[in-house]
Amino acid sequence: MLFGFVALPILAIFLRVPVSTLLAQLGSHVALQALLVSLRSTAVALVVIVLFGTPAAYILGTKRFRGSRTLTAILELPLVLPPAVAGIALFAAFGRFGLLGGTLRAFGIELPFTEAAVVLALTYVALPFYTRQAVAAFASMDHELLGASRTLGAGRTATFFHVALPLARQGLSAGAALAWARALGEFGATILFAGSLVGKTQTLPLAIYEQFSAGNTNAALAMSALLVTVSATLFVGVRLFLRTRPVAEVPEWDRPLRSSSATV
Amino acid sequence: MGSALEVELRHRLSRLDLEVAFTAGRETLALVGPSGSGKSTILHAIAGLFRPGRGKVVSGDRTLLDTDRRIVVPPEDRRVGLVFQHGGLFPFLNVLSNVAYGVRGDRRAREESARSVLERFGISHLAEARPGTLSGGERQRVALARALASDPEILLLDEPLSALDAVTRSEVAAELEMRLDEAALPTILVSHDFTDVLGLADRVLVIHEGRVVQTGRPAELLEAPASGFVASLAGVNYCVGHAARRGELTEVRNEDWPVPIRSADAAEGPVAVVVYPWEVSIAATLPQGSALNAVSGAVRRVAVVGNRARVTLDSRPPIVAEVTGESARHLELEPGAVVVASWKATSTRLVRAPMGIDRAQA
Repeated sequence: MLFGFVALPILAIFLRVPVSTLLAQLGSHVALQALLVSLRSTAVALVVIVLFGTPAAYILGTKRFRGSRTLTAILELPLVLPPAVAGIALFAAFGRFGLLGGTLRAFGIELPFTEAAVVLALTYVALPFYTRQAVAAFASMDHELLGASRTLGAGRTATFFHVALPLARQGLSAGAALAWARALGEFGATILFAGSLVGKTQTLPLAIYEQFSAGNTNAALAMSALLVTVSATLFVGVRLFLRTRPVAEVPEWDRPLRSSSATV
Repeated sequence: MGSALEVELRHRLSRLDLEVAFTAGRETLALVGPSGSGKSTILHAIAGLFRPGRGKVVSGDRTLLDTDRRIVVPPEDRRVGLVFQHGGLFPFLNVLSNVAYGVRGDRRAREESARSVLERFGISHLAEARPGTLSGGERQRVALARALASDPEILLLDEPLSALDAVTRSEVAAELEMRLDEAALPTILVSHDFTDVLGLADRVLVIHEGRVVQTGRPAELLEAPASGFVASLAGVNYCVGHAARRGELTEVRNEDWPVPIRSADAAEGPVAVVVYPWEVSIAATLPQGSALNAVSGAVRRVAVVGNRARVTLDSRPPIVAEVTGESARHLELEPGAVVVASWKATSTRLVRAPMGIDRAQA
């Protein structure tokens, strides 16, 4: 029952319209543009999330300091924020007349209704999906191994890259996949903060909504099928990646010689 | 040059007040004490993984830690090898890469050096194996190889044998003894089991509640434990009484005992009596002989270790005897059975009573 309830609507997307119609609709300019915007913006957002989220999660997951719980809670705020509220909040902060709007404009940066705004909105809502998993992954590492790495001559940074990252790899990948999926389906924050300009800020979910409201059901269904396919590919891809073991070889890095001693 | 390693630590933990000072030459020094006595904390402080409130660690002519002078060398620059209780091997790297991890130089040199270490340790066949597929003994061998491959100046071993079963334990202990001799480094070994360090340690520091309570060669500790705590750790019988000469023998009395204990050692005044469990025999009835000590009591516990059985008697004083498994079966030693433990006066060692020795040590 439950499985049917979940699976049936997805199946219905593919069954409502003949395949030929689906394919024809996909060739349309609007759908292609939306797909491109979606892929581009989610990819950039994911890079930003991983780049900034990983070090933050490492610190929050491995160190206990005053305020670390508060910081963790702040990072999770977007999870409980309704997407529409997130969009309005971003608008209030970075919009033309927002808190930082003037400052940004002074530097010649105009965010609203650009693809950068889409990336910002996606990053904002999808970030906690990654950091939550990442903090948990780093926190559950065997800390003895970090100590072992240090006593074997690897500094903090080398230990992070060569021990912490491989140990947390599964959690980090799962978190990245979740964040990407969340970003790909993002609707509320994007439409409010970035608008829905074809070829510029109109992502696939926004395009689906526009076609549907215009009574263009077939096009909406075709794009939905496309979005499902992309998401599913992503999902399966991550699953497969997680099943493979990381390469086992002598790590590709040279350690500076410790002073006071010769090479073995 | 003085000692190869000087350690002075003072730290207040929530459950423990740690204050120790000791030096080590190119020898194996064992820190023995119950879990929670601060042994591992001492190792981590030497390795740089834990910073004590106050402390000083000097290796040769290099100061690794001096809180007074605000010197704190990070662990990666200390050249202190640490072998963890469960090996601490990186699960995502194979054995070869684990060993190569701590070797300095470019990639090829590190791999070559790691291979030669594996060969020297006789574990080349494990090079491609994952730590997860290794047995406990193999894991410890690889961990030791990895630590030594990084060319440390000091070697620390945290309970290297306690995660192993009895058979593997003696194998690894034998190999450890050989490798430590070869390496000739100042080595500190931590264990909660005195018997584990018997063949390995040149000297033993007994740690209790964050303090060193006795230092000496393992044999010295067995012969003259400074307190009941050290004696129970060493696994020998230990009780305290008042000695008086009676002809050829010395009689030690205690108001709790029904009869005095006789010893061939000469002593007067407060003394501690030390009797090795393997010199105590168990019988069903009282044996004859004036040069013999005998106490009767109910069997409290029988612990079989290999082909030996350790029998604890609820006697006054309480006595532990180590007998062959065969005689334990023959006597039908079950908890509750009343038997007689006896030992010779010449097997009864008299050592100084604990207070005096503890004061002298402190």
